[in-house]
Amino acid sequence: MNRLATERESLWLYLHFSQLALEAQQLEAGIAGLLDTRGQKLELCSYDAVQAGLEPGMAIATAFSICPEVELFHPNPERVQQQLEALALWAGSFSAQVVLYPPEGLLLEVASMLDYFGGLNNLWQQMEQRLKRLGFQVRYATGHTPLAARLLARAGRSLVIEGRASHRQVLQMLPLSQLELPAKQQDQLRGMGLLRLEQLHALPRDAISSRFGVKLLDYLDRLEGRRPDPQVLFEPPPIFQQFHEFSREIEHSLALLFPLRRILEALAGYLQRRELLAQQLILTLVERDGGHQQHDIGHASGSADDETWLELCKLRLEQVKLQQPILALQVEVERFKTSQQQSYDLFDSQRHAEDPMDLLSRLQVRLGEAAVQPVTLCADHRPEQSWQLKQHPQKAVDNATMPLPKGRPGWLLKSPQRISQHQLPPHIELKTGPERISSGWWDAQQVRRDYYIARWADGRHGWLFRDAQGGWYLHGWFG
Amino acid sequence: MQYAELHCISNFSFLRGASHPDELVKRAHELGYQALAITDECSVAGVVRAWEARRDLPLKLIVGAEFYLDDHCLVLLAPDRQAYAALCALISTCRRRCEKGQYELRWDDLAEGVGGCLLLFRPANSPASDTENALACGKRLKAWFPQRCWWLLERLLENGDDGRFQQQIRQSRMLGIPPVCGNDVHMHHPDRQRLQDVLTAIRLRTSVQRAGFALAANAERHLRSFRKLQHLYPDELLQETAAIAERCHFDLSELRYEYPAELVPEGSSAKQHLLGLVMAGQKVRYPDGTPEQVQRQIDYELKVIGEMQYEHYFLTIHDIVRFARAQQILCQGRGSAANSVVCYCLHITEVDPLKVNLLFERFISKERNEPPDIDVDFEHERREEVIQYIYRQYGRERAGLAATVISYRAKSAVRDVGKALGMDESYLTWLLSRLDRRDHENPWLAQLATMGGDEPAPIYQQFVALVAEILDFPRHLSQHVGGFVISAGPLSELVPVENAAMKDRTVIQWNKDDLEALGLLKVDVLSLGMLTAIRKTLDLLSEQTGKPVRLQDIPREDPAVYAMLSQADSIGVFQVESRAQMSMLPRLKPQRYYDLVIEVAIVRPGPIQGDMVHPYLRRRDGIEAVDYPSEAVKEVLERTLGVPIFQEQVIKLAMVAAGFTGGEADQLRRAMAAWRRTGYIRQYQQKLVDGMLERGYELDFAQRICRQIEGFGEYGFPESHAASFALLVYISAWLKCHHPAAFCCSLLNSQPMGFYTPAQLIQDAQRHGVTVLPVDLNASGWDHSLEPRSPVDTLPEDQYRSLRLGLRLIKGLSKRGAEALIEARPATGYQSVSQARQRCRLSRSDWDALAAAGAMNSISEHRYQARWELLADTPWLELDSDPVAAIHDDPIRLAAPDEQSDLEEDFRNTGVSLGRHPLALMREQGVLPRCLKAEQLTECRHGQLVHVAGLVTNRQRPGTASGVTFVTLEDESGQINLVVWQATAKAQRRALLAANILQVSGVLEREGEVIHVVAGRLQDISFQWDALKVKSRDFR
Repeated sequence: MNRLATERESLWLYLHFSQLALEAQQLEAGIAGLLDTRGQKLELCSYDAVQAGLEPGMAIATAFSICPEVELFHPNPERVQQQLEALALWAGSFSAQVVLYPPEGLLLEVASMLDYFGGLNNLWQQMEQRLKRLGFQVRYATGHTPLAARLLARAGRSLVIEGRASHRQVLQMLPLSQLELPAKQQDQLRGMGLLRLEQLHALPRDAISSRFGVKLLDYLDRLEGRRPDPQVLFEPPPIFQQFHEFSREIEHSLALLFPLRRILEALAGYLQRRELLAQQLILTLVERDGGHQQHDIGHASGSADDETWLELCKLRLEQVKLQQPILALQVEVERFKTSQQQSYDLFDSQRHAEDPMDLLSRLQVRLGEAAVQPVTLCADHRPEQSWQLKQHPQKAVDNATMPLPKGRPGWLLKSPQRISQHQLPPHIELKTGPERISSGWWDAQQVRRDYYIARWADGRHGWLFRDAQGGWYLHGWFG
Repeated sequence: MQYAELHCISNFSFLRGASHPDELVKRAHELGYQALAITDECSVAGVVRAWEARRDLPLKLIVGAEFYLDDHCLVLLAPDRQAYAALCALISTCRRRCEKGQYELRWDDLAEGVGGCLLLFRPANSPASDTENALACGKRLKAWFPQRCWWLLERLLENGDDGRFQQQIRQSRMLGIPPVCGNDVHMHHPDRQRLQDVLTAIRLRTSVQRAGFALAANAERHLRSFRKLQHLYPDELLQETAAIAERCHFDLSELRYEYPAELVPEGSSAKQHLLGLVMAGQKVRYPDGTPEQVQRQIDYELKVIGEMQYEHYFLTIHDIVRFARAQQILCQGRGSAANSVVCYCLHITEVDPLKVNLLFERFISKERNEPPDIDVDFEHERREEVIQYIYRQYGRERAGLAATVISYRAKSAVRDVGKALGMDESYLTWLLSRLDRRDHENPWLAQLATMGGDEPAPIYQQFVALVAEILDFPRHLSQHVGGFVISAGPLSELVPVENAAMKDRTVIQWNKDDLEALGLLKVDVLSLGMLTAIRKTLDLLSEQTGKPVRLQDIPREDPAVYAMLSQADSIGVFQVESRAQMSMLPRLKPQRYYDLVIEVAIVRPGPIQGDMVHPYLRRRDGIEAVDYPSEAVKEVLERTLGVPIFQEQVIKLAMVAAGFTGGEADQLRRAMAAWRRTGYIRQYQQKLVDGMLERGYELDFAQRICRQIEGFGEYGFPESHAASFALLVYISAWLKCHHPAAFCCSLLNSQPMGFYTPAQLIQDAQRHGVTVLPVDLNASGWDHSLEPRSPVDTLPEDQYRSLRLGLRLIKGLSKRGAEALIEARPATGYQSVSQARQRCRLSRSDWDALAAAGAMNSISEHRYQARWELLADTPWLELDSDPVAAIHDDPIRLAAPDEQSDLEEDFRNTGVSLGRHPLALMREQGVLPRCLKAEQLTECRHGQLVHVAGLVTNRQRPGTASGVTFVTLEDESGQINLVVWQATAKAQRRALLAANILQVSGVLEREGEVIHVVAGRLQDISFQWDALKVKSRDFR
């Protein structure tokens, strides 16, 4: 059935990832729930959680009493947005016009793709297959307007049809509670027994607007295509780089395959949309202590196929033995080549005008974190804990505002040196003190010490302490 | 060596001090201190506890407070009563300037020298450049506090400590201000450092890991040993502390007996005046002359009152009650002293101690020297008038509300300590959700300890230990529900007054126990919803009969009332309407007033945990012989058939059966009240068991008494209170029995109160033959009201039987709107929607609320149509001079709601439906196959398998019946009581916890007239009607 392009009706497909806020954080299927922002009730429940008897709206205490093993997540809107954008890249395989509907929806223009895929049914079949591999729960529907597709999808209609008339017919039965209206208006509509769109249609327009305002009419008009509804298209970024921070630590390298698959699916969409092949990926694993593991994975002739890349990554990861748990994963494409076989290197490009921070981060990536580190002061009474490398910025304080305690040496020994037990040697004379430091009971580095400034016979000043057992230690030198 | 610690804060410097006042006192004594000053920050909230702990110790307690001003620390100590008054006044001034919990001291406040207070000055620990400032302040203070100012030196071994010490000595010499040492004490023992760090983190809303330098560098802020003190300070400084302590001789015991005196007319004495009032009361109470026995009792009571000089106290209560009676505010006193003939004559109580054969030996305990205990309940909607009267009568300077100390409990302790240790909030929630605080076998702290796994992480072990340690630490002061203190002089010279969270309310810094310990007068002005409902019922009856009906006009000991209660027909009746009480009523079968006293007291943790309920019932039914192990015990237990039911009896038993002295028994009573916080009760329990065994009582009996004591600790319920409550039980039951429409109407007009929702109260009234009419814009007032029934079916004795629901039931309708609607209502009522709209300008949302509730159904086709018409803009109404002509019907006709939608809208918009019960609809639709109705269960036999279904109206897991969940279902014919055993509950948790409509298969159990269904299979059938939501009371 060939239609002329000019006659083609608009057709949209909406994907509603109803559990995205939860699934974007899950590392594997299981009994899991997403908490509301106050951390008191369940907002979402995974499929397995529902099977176990949990349901949204349940108080956390009830949830635990029904199913103690449930894994709970706090809302993480950034992560969800990241995942939605990755899905938008993925959708590049099916449409050049993708619209983001945060937090969990994607709208695809499909009318112009029907010829390429050989009809709507073929398009949907391919998409459904790919969706299954991604493992997100999804509701979907087509619509002759963006809003129609969105509402029908959210209502869970699982609808894939063409044609304005058929969509209109379906819309008639749409419950009004599915419309995105203020709660008060919803309540009034229901309170007059108005439950479905067809009932509203039966009423005169002016009668509706005088009761519910023009806004409602506008909304209905956009829904049914009597009024244009322009969309802002999603622009894929110029480079492909996906970073995934896990909700918990990963201890086996093969467990990385699940999140990796989703990233590679996005890659495939990205490549197809831009008609590119990837030749080399850099897979970076972030370890618990802040170190990085980097794996370069190449494909000589280049590929746009996610399965291929997944296989290559799997081969590599099978050889990797994790020394430390992994906190995050990043995939970026090091070398692309166009379908015309022209390969180029990302780092040659002019885009990377050097910025000191970029330089620093690239130095860190190249030389390793440990080689380049700034020092910062920390608010902690314990001398060993009072400074640190700028890796874990939780307790770091602003160097400018930090009061440097008086009587502290500029040169702190890496670890205290034992001088003697009980008696101090005669060549060391205590000048000031004691300053008693007793703190840090909450971690394994509790200290209980009396610090003194002492003068050595040769004139040097040292910082030493006596511990609770009476032993004397040197801890630093004054300049 | 002589030493006095003059700078010491307790945990009443909230989230700063890490030791209880009594811990500080005990430790100071152990260390051999001569004196200890408790100097909480701008507060004396902890001193009474310290004073009590010190009572038998040779340690002087000095009352003081510390203040921070421009980072300088100022410690004020009260050497005498006058200085103490000035200190309290200063604290009040500083506190009243700020919001709850804050204070602000200004230099000017000190210019007059604070009434002779001694001052210790510790300048801010700031850079050398500020030396000038410190010297200037020192100079000024020296002038303001001549011979009473010291330079406070404190060596805490912090960074730069020794240099600073030398510098301070020099500065003090320069100004000629004598130096003295102190230790900025925050804890009684250095072991509290962990807790102190945690408190700091909680106060700063951070964790110990992140708190950094906000934490103390070391544990030196503790009560130090002589050895350490001598090591750190020169002798002169130490001696100076003792010299200062020597100058302080104020003791809190000086605060006794400062009662207001103005109620006594000039030329009369308090004694004469009270006697006069009692005699006047006698004439009303005993119009035919006071019986001799009563007169003897009155003479005895007056003698005791005189000996204890409590006349002013009784006069004060009398004055408050007199005011309430004059305003027709119903009130009722309770407490040991309230149930005296004197109080009966003063109209403080309606309980005639003689009529009910209830003379309390414990009228006032002379040995204990404690003030008498009278609480007065007032109508809950009008208590504020009484409070305002007290403020007017005595002035805000002399009357104040007692504080309630809000302390750490399981939940807050786990949360705050966990957060301070950096634990995840959802993890803490998870922990809390798994704690069963009602499990008596395995206390929750032990449960918590096991939740860290077999080898808990060190931080988890610290967490558990710290949670245990922080329990009962005060967090802030809140206002007591109604405990007033009234003083003779300005209150702020007796105890500091600070702002409460509620606007225009102030609280004093002491709580009820503190006041009691000091023997200060307090009056509990409490509120009780049932009194409101009773007064409203009496008003309706007065209106109906045309002559006033008063509390004392209600006939007593009416058999019909007892018959009703014995059938557990008690919905709406005070105190005995809960499910537990309802299942007790048919077993206890109350026949007289005293049975109600027992009924009220027996369904409580004390008697239940003591396993006293069944023995009592058996003895009452004559199944078990009534005997007494000894004559002494017989005297105590005779009125409860040898089974201890009341708290007083248990205390008395400790004396007669276990050899407790009066003082020990008193300690037992206090320990009982504080048991849950302190756990101190163990030592008394052991003593009790030993004492009873020694005297030949059985071990089992002794142990049961011990368990009962624990139960009382959870919820103490003395006979003296039960007696007053029982009277209200009787009165409300009488009203329900004889005037169900008026009673239900008044209950509805007094909401929120009681155990049942308006919907349940209305259904109950309907089952008792009351006609209930829907809310209607032409017939309803704001309140619910009684309407004459149509002449056709007028019943002879009670013509006001129909209950018309009021507009107050409508959700979203403003009271102003409702009043305007009634105001503009034509005599013949509104005739149409458009006419109503024309006559009365209500907001769109008021109209919408009226229509949604179905209140316009009488003038429109149905609520959908009414809502549709009312939502339209109607500019034409303003313009047209002849509205009737302009009003044309809306051409659009909406379809009418079906029965189910109507019902849903009723519930949604009023919470009540007069239509058929949802279960009736479901039954009709055939979705409840084989299910019996509630009323059919009475025909079933014990042990029969039954199927039932109903709305879940109540789920309860009472602490007294561990492992059982009680669920109440409601269908169109009544209530069904389910018993769900733990195993069943576990297996079907989802249905049990989440269902709104349950279908249950189970086994019927009956014991006499009490019927339960022991649940087997639970099925959530809410989906059959998922829009219908009935507010369910969940686990409490």
